[in-house]
Amino acid sequence: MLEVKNLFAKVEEKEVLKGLNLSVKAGEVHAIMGPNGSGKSSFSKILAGHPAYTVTSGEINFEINFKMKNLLDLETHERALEGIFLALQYPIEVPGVSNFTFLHQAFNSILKHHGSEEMSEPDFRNFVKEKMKLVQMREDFLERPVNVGFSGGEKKRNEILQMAVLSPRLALLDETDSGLDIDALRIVAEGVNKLRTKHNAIILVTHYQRLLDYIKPDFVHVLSEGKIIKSGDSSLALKLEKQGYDWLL
Amino acid sequence: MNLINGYDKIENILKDNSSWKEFRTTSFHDFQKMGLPTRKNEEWKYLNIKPLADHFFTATLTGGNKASLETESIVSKELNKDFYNLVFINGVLNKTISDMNELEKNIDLHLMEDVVAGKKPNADSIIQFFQKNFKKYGNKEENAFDKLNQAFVGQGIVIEVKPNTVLKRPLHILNYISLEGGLSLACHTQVYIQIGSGSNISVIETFSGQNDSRYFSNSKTEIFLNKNSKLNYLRNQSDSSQAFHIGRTKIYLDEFSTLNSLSYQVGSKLSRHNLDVYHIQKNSTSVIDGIYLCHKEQAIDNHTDIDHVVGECQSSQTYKGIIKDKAKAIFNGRVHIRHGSLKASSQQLNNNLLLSSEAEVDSKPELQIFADDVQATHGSTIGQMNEEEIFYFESRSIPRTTAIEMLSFGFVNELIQKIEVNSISNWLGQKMLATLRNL
Repeated sequence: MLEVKNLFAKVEEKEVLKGLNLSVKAGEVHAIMGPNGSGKSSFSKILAGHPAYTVTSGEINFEINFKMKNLLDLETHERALEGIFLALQYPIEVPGVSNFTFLHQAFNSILKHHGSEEMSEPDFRNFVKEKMKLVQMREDFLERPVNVGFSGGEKKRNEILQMAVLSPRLALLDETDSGLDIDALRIVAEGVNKLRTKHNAIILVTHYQRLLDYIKPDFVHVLSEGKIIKSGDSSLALKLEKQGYDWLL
Repeated sequence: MNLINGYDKIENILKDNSSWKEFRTTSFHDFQKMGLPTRKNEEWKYLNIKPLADHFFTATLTGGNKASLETESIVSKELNKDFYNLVFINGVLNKTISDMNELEKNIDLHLMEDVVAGKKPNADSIIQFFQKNFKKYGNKEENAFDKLNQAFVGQGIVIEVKPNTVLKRPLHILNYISLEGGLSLACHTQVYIQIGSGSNISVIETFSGQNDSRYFSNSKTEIFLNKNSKLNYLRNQSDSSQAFHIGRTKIYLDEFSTLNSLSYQVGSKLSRHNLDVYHIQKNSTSVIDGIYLCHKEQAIDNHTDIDHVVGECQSSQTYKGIIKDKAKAIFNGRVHIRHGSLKASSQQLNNNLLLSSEAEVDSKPELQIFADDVQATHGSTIGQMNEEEIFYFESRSIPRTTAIEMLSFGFVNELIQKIEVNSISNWLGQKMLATLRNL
């Protein structure tokens, strides 16, 4: 589904990725771990198309309609339309735009892209209410401005709600566990697990192993200085938890 | 000068009585003496009105054709059935498409032309009451456009709302200007509203016109809120993109009266609205909001002047604007707390969102505080669209243009949501969405 080959990228003048390779298939969960400043968050933002980053060389190919296409040819919103979703480490607050309007607009953009009819407000309301149960969010959050006045945990749950509504093929969860207490972590992780299918893939970007107690990855990669220096199965994460990153660097 | 064209015909048309005639003549001479303001005048420092002076206009009172059936049908299609509509086309009340019967059951209406001709002594006394108030409280000079308005007036309406009246629907006064045969019109109107004590009404004034037509609208509205009365006021300036718009609203607040005002300005090539609010008795409250959306080479000017004549009153202002392309916006917010107006409370906030590097905004708070023991705050911000917010929308599959539209709507929507009357907030919200789509 995703093939990243020898990817180099920079933000402003700083090189953040230096020859990253990664291959992800449908149904897989990959965890990308690594020390601070290793390029983890940069990688997920580059996949989603954040305008601050420039890819200087290498390829990102993504499967669209059973064909591998160059993701770099697509605008940010076009990538989202094709099923790429980034749950942000620090979800943005948007005063004046309600959660409902935001989700409804996003959802209908995707329906339209696939040639389906847009969903009416009442139908969408019922649809989204079901999804809210998944992350134990109260309905009144729909009428509130996006993320404004939400606690850290509520913001992260809101990201997973968006994921549930938009049902992406490739979800990138950037430090979704950061700032969560144990209850919130469990709710978020359970939400993600329920969204796991054999048709979609998930990339978890995380500094700590604790999220991986709840969402079991098929592969664990260690990122350092802009490239993957070690890959393994979930036992690698446990080893990192015990021994830290130093033995690899 | 182009703007006083046709003045000599007025006397014959109106056959006005002596008191109005004298008033008119004096105003006309005052206008000639003053001439149009230039940017050397502090009050007009940021707005260049030269483009207005360059055009030739015919005053609606002295020329201009009757509204065609086609115009009537265009205007009537736009009318919202949730309002009591009072429609003026080219300065003339159109009884066919106005809700005359229902309105006359609830309020007293007097046409300005009848008042000027001396046929309506009751209404004339209402106007005299306003003039007395202006002399008593209005410590401001009238400008050249006030004089011009007074020299050409003969169209408009005097409205009397009896005490303890609750209007079920908002009163919508629509001023529509069309070309009807090609003349560029100048429409000088006056509206007086006397709101009886204990009454609760909503008033919308809309200024609009034939798409892309050039005309000049110069209006004056005066409203008096008697004791314990309440007014929700929306001034909707949605004039044609080639129009020139100058307007003044004066509102007097008696004891325990409440004003919620929203000045919505999106139309015209060049526009200026002066809003003067006088807290003349204790315990009156005003909430004064404004929205302006300008693009291309538009200039939109809002001048507010909140006068705490007495103490123990609250005023709070929030003006928000979005400025795009080479457009220019001006906000000048004066708060005047007079000597001895103890325990006055006044807040002012002006937020601007610039959507291009060539857009301009001049934001100027003017606090004149002559009393102790008062609370007065002001703030002004000028910012740009947040790229991280746009990315957030894009990463959720919403295209950039839609994201900017939604974020712009969000920026000003708070003020639409504050409108207490649902039929008005829904109506204006829809209009604003359409405007933002074309911004």
